[in-house]
Amino acid sequence: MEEILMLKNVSVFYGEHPVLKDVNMGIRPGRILAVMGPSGSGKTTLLRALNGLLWEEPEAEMKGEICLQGRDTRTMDREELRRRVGLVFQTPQPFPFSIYKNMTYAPRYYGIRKKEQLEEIVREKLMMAGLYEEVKGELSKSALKLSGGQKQRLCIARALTAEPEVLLLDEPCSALDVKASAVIEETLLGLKERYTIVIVTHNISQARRIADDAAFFSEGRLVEYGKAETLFTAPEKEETRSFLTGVCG
Amino acid sequence: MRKKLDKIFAFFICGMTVFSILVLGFVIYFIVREALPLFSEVSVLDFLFGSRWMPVDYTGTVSFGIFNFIAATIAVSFTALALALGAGLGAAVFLAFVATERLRSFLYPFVDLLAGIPSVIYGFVGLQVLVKLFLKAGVPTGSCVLAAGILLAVMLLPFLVSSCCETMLKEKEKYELVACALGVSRWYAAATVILPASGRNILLSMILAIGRAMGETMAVMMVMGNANLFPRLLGKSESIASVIALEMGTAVYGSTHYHALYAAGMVLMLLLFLINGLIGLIRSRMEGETL
Repeated sequence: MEEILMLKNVSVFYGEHPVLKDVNMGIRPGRILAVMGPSGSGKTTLLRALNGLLWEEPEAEMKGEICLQGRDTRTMDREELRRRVGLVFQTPQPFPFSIYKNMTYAPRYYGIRKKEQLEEIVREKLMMAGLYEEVKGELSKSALKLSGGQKQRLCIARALTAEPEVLLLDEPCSALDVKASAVIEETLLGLKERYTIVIVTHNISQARRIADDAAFFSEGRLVEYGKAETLFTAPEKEETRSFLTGVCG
Repeated sequence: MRKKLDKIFAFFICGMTVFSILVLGFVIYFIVREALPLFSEVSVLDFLFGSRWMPVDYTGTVSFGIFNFIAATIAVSFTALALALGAGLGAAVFLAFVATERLRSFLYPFVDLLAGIPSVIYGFVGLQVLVKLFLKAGVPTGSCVLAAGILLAVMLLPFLVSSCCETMLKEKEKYELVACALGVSRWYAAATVILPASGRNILLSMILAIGRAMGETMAVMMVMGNANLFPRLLGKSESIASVIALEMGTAVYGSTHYHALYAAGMVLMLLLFLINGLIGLIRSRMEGETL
């Protein structure tokens, strides 16, 4: 299968301090990749490198090459890269506007002005994120008044309005309860047909439930990467095994 | 022991709060008590809307009308606020969005330094520089409302710049990356998310700034010419604070003049409450509805 994202010898340094060390991996389209690892293992930095947000940090330096659909991302326009590779943050941060305005923010920027077209986007993406039924009567309500889980789904829906090809999620459920997390998981499973999903998670059982592929990072190194089933049931490396059992047991 | 300490602390906090409220109440009570006797001699309407101020009977009848002073106070304050807001927002946007962390920490002390200069020094500079410039430009004597407005604007700047910049930095931290992750440019994010989100706090800074502007006496007095005239940008005028400062020393204790000055102070206070209330109303409106 053709990889949508390809990392070749990617290292990231903050000053002298290496955060990612020589990472090589290909991310396949239409699947959910779960990225796991202890705190400080470089998971968030990986996501930021993938969508180019890392370049906004002057102290971060990246070596190696990341290709999106075969094209080196550093030759691409930054804004285009960030549009094509969406990122949902750990803490949901809706803009202090109405739900509708949150959802039309990116489309408007990309020049869509027609009301019917905007309304269709809002409806479609909210449905994809499984939020439409809950908010359809109150699209003009402030997005800040939504519950935590709803906010996060709104942020996912908002990320989708930019029409990305890859959707990165940085521990999207860390601030949510079990029920809200379950709704998000369901949402992600529904989205993987159309989008490639990379999710950083601390929750191993969550990764087991939704991931097709899994990667385990430790201290900036990619320790193990492969089919989720294999990695969870029969990890090759001792490090992976102890992480999985240590957290589970 | 722990509980006892908590109790003492709570008591102390309550006491301090009550004390500050009492101080405010006392100030209001004192001003109102000294102002009220005036209205047994001069009607409220004549006082507020009369434009003849003749506190001592050199030339016939005395008269107490402070309309021009009220108008001048409002005119100077809003001129200053408008000028300061333009420059201040620009400077804050520069500091928050263009300047690097290092440049910001280098420039900040200069802004703070402006706040430390006594107002009489500002007045002096205004007299030496601004008034002379206006004189050259053809304004008779050079003293005018615009000069006071400009001077006052400079005095308001440090507070406006630093408070607006703080707000913007806070909102920027919250929303910039989020917006950028959607693929929009940084400036678009700044203009469409971060600035609107800062709006409420900018309004709050405006309330505090206008309070300072309306009460400012020295600098305004030194460059505005102090003539009882309806304020025009390039004409002389006199603010309420200036009248009080200039005449309180010569007013006989207990005379109508004395009470009239207190009444003018009361009007200034009410004016401030009114404006604060109005801006506060706009602010809570903004909170109620989403942008």
